[in-house]
Amino acid sequence: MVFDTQTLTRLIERSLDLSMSGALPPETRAEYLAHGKRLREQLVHLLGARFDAQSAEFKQATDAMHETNHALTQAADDLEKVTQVVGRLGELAGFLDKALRVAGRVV
Amino acid sequence: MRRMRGWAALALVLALAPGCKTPGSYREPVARFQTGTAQASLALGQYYAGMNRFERDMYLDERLYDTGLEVLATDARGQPTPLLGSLFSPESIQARMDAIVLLGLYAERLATLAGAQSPGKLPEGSRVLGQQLGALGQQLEGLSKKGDGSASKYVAPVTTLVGVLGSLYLENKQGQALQQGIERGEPQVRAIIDLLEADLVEVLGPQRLTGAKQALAARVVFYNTHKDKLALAERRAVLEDIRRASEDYEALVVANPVELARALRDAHEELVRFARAGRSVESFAELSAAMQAFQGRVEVAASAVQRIQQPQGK
Repeated sequence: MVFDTQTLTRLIERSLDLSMSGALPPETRAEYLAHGKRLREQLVHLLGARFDAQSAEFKQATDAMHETNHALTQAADDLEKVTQVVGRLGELAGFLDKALRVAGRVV
Repeated sequence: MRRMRGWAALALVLALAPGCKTPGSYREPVARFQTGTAQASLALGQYYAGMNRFERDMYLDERLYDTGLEVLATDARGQPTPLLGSLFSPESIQARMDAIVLLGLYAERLATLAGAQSPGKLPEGSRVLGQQLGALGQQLEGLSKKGDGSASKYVAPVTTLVGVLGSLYLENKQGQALQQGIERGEPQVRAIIDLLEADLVEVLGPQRLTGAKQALAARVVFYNTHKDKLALAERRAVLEDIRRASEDYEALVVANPVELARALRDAHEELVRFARAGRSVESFAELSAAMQAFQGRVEVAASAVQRIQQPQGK
């Protein structure tokens, strides 16, 4: 089983876009950049990873990613919500780290 | 317009009538297929070959605008960084590049059969390369056993296409060989192109797109954070770097190397359709137009891929 890297790619691109958004305060922009970079580093490893579909780490990371992506999409132009979601990206990175520890390498 | 088409069809009839059932009918469009395939294969191969270099460039680029980061060969957990390590297995990359070379050889063999007086005689280099690729199926099987799941999907089409290629070297009946080559190679060529397309969409695309976006965002955040401390000349240099990073990202979005795989598939399908339509004048006209369009698509996409192959900011 491979990770849904297409959704993760969109999430990273959105994070990096927000790091360049004049609608957000500089501190939040810097946070989005830091999370975007961290998530990209994990993405590159996930592109070549294979998982046991029943693995708890895999499921947890997948759920966290979809929830975060949903929250970021819902936040859209609501700056307060966008600022709140940034914290969830850190949690997501933690779940992805756990998943990568149990992954097998593919490519 | 209709009258012009009629004249064109008549011209084709006159030109092809004596030879429309000979391999010569294929010569021009198959030559275009071969040229386009060679160009697409070269660009795709370079794109694959650059996977690990791109990550090394990203690693160093990140350190250019973040003075808090050191350059290291291994990270705090002892894992190799992209500086010296390979995030993507060189063997897996090579196997895919070999599969691309195989497509080029297949097209080359078809072109030789379509145009050569002595189809049994191939350039020695091509023959040797064909023999070397004979082991590709086994190599892919080995990678599959090592855990490269997508390599296993290449095994069957690659092995069969190598077999088809081998039989084409021995075939002496030009027209029959051409027809059979296209027919027998069709499912394998399609399968290999589909796998390449999946790799491009699912692996290479996300790697490059997020990388180019990150390079841009890092520069923008750096400028916004440090602009008050930078002299005019320094600001000019950083802004110029931002402009280049923005153009790199834009070029990547526009280039979309998967277009090369899609153009290859469309051209191959036209070739198969022509072979199955009994090489009629109408289908020849369609094939000829399709191959011209194929060459055009490949030229545009290959030059765009060349553009994004340049090191960042150069």
